[in-house]
Formats: sequence, structure tokens, C-alpha cells
Amino acid sequence: MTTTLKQVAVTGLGVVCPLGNNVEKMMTALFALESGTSKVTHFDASPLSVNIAAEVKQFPRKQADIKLDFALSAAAQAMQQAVTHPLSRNERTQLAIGIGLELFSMPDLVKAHSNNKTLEQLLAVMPWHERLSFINTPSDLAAHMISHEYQMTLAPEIHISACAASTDAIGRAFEAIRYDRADFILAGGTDSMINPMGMGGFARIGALSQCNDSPEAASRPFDIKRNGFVLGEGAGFMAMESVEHAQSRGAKILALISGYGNSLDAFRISDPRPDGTGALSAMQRALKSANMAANQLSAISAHGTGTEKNDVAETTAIRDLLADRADHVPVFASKSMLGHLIAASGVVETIAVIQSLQQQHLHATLNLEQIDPHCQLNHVTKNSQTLQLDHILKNSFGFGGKNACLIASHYKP
Amino acid sequence: MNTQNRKAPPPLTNNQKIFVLGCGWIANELATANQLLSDMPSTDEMQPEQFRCDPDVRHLLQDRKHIKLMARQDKMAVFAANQAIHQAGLDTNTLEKHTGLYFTVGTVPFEQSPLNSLCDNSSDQGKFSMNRFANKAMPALNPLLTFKCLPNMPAYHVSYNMGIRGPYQINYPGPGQWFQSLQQAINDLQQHKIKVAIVGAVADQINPLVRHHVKRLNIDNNNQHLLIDSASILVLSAQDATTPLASLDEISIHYQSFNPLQAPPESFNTSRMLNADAGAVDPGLFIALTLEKKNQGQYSVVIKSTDRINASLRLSIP
Repeated sequence: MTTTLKQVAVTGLGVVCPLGNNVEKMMTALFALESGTSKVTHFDASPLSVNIAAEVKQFPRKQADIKLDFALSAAAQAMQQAVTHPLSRNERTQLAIGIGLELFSMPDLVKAHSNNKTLEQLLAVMPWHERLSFINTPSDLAAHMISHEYQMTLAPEIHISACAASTDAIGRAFEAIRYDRADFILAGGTDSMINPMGMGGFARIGALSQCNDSPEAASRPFDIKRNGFVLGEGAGFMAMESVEHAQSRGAKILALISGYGNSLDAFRISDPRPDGTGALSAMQRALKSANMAANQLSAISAHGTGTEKNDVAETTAIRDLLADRADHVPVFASKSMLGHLIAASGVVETIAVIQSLQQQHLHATLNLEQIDPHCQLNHVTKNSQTLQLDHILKNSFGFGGKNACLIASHYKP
Repeated sequence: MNTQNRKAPPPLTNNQKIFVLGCGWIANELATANQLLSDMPSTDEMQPEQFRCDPDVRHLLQDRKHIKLMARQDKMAVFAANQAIHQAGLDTNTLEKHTGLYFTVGTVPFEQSPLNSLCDNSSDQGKFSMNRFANKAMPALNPLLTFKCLPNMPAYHVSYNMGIRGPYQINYPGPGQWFQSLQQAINDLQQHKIKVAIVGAVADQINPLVRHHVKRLNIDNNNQHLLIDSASILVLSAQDATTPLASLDEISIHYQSFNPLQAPPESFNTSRMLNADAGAVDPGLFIALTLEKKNQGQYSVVIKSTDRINASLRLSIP
């Protein structure tokens, strides 16, 4: 039996990120090469070895866990753009969300510990709503809050594949729509690790840039002077549906998602395969899923963290993928300005890709002043570029060897 | 349930059947197969700590030094995966890219001892002190602890030690998501993206943080709730083997959205197939225990989880 595959459209976008709390502000800042990194203000990080991060600014906190607020805001933006009339309750609607590590609030824990009470004892006398927020960790709540807000009819998918989580959420949503297992999916992710445990843990393993005196220059993917990533935070969501579904509702199609692939490195716990074969596998699977050849790619949005090993492995993989076009296909790294939004990084950077396809314009990589000889590619540096963009590959690679890649395509009605 | 008029997922047709080639499971030795299925001791007589599971898996590791990076849930996952892959007659040297990994991780634990150390060393007259946290608490922690509390680590250790490099889906945190993992594995098998699917879950639940999370969504508020540590893994294929352990005939997943910040309606109760709460592992563990009995027939695996996912699976044991 042959199945007719559906084309998958993106009809709504929403973002909360260090460069602005909507898509327009984020893109303006990306094209203007503005850094989102500064001294940490969420808490007193001065005693830590790293006290810079890319924080979300001017954002009102309503829930104990700010990841929930980020997610609700980004989801609302995407739904507002995509859905002018409520979707039918008979349709198969779903949320697919990538979330990060559940970290606890140290002040809450110290308080409990100092009272010589167990968590259970404290919780037993608490009202329901206080129970939920007592420890700052209920990431899965975001999935149910958003599903309830928009009356989603299918069970939410909650992905935890580290820095690839929201890319996997989008990828699996793409497959579900393509194979007619869902009608409409809101896909994305939310994360914030800019808290004592998150920053302390990453700093302890030496993953973060320690450029405390020059925050704006700290995130420098593929540059010879890179020394780690900058922690970011935020959320992004994309409304996804089949082209025919979007057209039947009169929704505006912003772009297409054409391919998705993922792979496991099965290598070291914190390092990618140096030969890049894990990443290459995911990129090749994305191309195969899109029924596309590497020479059809117009540009690549790199994972580009600014860590020594990741950038070299990703370069190797991209060079193997593109072969003789490796010195010609433009490559750019949004983390140079956004910082690393961990579980939310994939979706926010994919939204930047979709905007680039719409505007036929690529942003440059900030702070890429001297390209590492081991990271030689056709990097977009200094100035943004206007060019014909048909298909852009988006890479996301997670701790523990999780590689996920998407292909987004320009939509021509 | 607002699912009546929507297109129902089609049942698996004969030429799309999925076969179970192997299964593996682990729980504390006090939670034996018979006890889990029919004869669990009264929870009044048991201490939660008695159901902790911490297998020695050094002999199963590609690199024995990795043991220092592994939390209990990582060890349980590797133990069950090895058992399942061995029973399926597969060679870990050949799994590579045609094998997919579909894994559900229960609520993420944090070991009690470092938690106490963090609290003690961060406290100044009963309040959190950032200075003490940065200068005393963090330096006292073993940096390798970072690798023990990441939710995607059980999947990493399974992929590394079993040589799995295919597609994956890693989700969280309960039995409803186990069904979603299974559904994704079935999809990938039927689309011929892979030849073999490893579907599993792990739950390290003898832990104060996990107990907190279980309670925050536990409508029953049932103190008799017996949490156990456990892992289970199934090896699936769309190709009929000579002697499959079982075939999966039908799967369905339904959901009713709810606001988790409001107290849930009293009428909503969870249901459990086992005499203990294995969290995300519940359905996989039930299947593994049922397969172990080797009684021919059709079996239903049904869950009604606290996050309003009702799911069912029908399997046949030949």
C-alpha cells in the first residue's frame, strides 16, 4: 500500500528569547548582530566562576518556574498568528515540547532541610497550588497547561533529548503530520538553566565561556578564541499542519518543514564523535526524508556552540556532507547572539531559519573574527547576506550523543 | 473524553504486525514476578528503601571505567537492555544504524547524599547563601554528579554499550509516554526506517525528589502507594521471527487535557496493572512479566495515568 505523504507547513511562530520577546524583535537583533549576553541579573552569580549569561529581559514572571511563563507566552504568539478561528474539537491537535533538566530551587531545598522536615512532611500540610510550585521543577506542567489552554485532543509529547529536544519535538511533529497521524501540532520547547544549580553545574565541568569581563564577546562559535558556550534561556513554538489543512482554513503559510533525521553517537558521554559521523548520519537522514540531495541546500544553521570539540566535529560532518560545495554553502550560528537555550535552542534557531527563508536574508555569526583552521567553512561573518534561499538545514546536537536535523524550505504558493 | 468523532488510529493489519523478539526487566529482588502480579506484601510491612535497585553491570560495559558515571537508573537500563537483546538473539556488534532506541525516563532523581551535602554547605542560618553555595557546596560535589542526573543519560548508556546508532525518541515522565515511545517505534518499523526497535523505560523512584513529584500529581494521595525502582526493555521487529515471544495487535492512546495547576477532579483515579507503582515502567514491566509466564493467549495492557492519558495495547502470545 502506498501512502501519499503530506507537505508540512508552518503557519505560526512565537518566541521569548534573550534578543526579544517576539519574533520581530529577535530577527531585528539577529540581523543587527546584537549580543544577548550580559552579567547575570536573575540571582547573585558573582561568587561563581562564570557570571555571564544570555537572559530574557523585561519579561514578567507569573509562575514559580519561569520556564512555564516562557512557554505560555511563546505558545500564545504562535497560536495567535496561526489560528484566527478556533480549531474544531474533532481535529487531531497536539503539543510537542522539548524540555530540559528538572532542577530544584536551592532556596526551597535549604528551607526544607533546615526545618529538619522531609519533603513529604512539608508537602502534607500544603495547599495543592503551593505543592506544585514549592520546588521549582515541574517542567512537564508546561505540556499540560498549554494542551489545556488550546484544548489539544492528542496526548502531548514531551521530549528530553537535551540540546536536541525541541528539534526532535518539531521533527516528530513533522512526521506525524506528514503521515496523517495529526492535523495540527504546536511544536517547540522551553528551558532556563540560569539558576544556581544550572550555572554551577555547567561551570564545574568547564563547558561555559569564562569571558566575564567581555560578555558580548563570550559566545564565538568556530572562532579560534572560543572557550565554551554562553548559557541562554527562552522558549519557542511553531504551529504546524499540512499545506492542504492550512489552505482549507485560509491560514498563511510561512515556510515548509521538508525533512527530519536523528541519530545516536554511541560515543563518549560529553564529547561528539571527532569524525562527525554521528552528526553526518542525522544530516543524511534529514536529506533522505526530504528526498533531497546535499547540493540542494542553500545554507546551514549550525549547532555552533563555541565549544572546542563540538565546532570541529560539526565542521567535519558538514564538509563530508557538502563535499566539493563545502567552501560555498553559507553557514551561520545563531548561538553567537542568542546564547545556548539548551532544550529550547533548536526551535528558536529554527524560527530564525524560517524568517531567513521568508526574507531571503541570512544573519551573520557574531564574534567570528578569526576562523579556527579546523573549522573552515563558508561562514557568514560581519554582515548579513541577501541571497536566494530555497532549503536550509538546521543542526542540533545534544549532550550524550543525540543528533537531530531539520530541513526548512521556502514556500512558493 | 472528547475523542469520539476524530479519526481513530487504524488497527495494525496483518502485514504490519509487530513482533516481540526479546524482553528484559529488573526490579529489586523483593519485587518478584509473582509478587508484582498477584502477591505483593502489605506496604505497611515494607520500608520504601527495600525496593531500591542497584545492579552490578560492570561486566556489561564497553568500558568498565564508565561505572563511575552511572546513576542507578543508568545501570538498571543497561541491565534490562542487555537481557532483552540477548534473548532476541541479536549481536550488539551488528545493531548500529538499523536499530532505533525509544526510551521513556521517569521523573529525574537526585541522590540523597549529595542533596544533603548541597543543603548543609549552602545554608547560612537556615537560609540559602549564594556565597556558601559557590565556595563550599559546589566544590564539595563530585563534578561527575552532573552526568548522573541528566534525564537522557540512561538512553546514552544503552546506546553506547549496545552499539545503537539509529534514530531515537526519548520522552518523559510516565506510562502514557511509554505508549507514545512504543507508537513511534511501530511507526518507524512500519516505514522501514529501522529493522529493530529497542523500546524501554526506567524509573528510579526510591528518592525524595521523585516522591515529591509523584505526590504533586497523585490524585489518590494514597499513602499506601508502593513505589519501586525498575526498568524494562522490549526488542521489536516488523519481520516475523521463527519464534517470536508475542505479537502486538493493536495500540490506542487517548488524552483529556487538564489544567495541572488546579486540583484535579476527585472522580479521576489512576489504575495500575501491578501491585506496585513502577511509574513509566508499568506497562513494559507488565508485558515482560506476562511474557515470562509463557501462557498462550491474548492479553490487554491498559493504563489510566495521572496525566490523563488512557492507553491500551493488545498482544498475543503464540
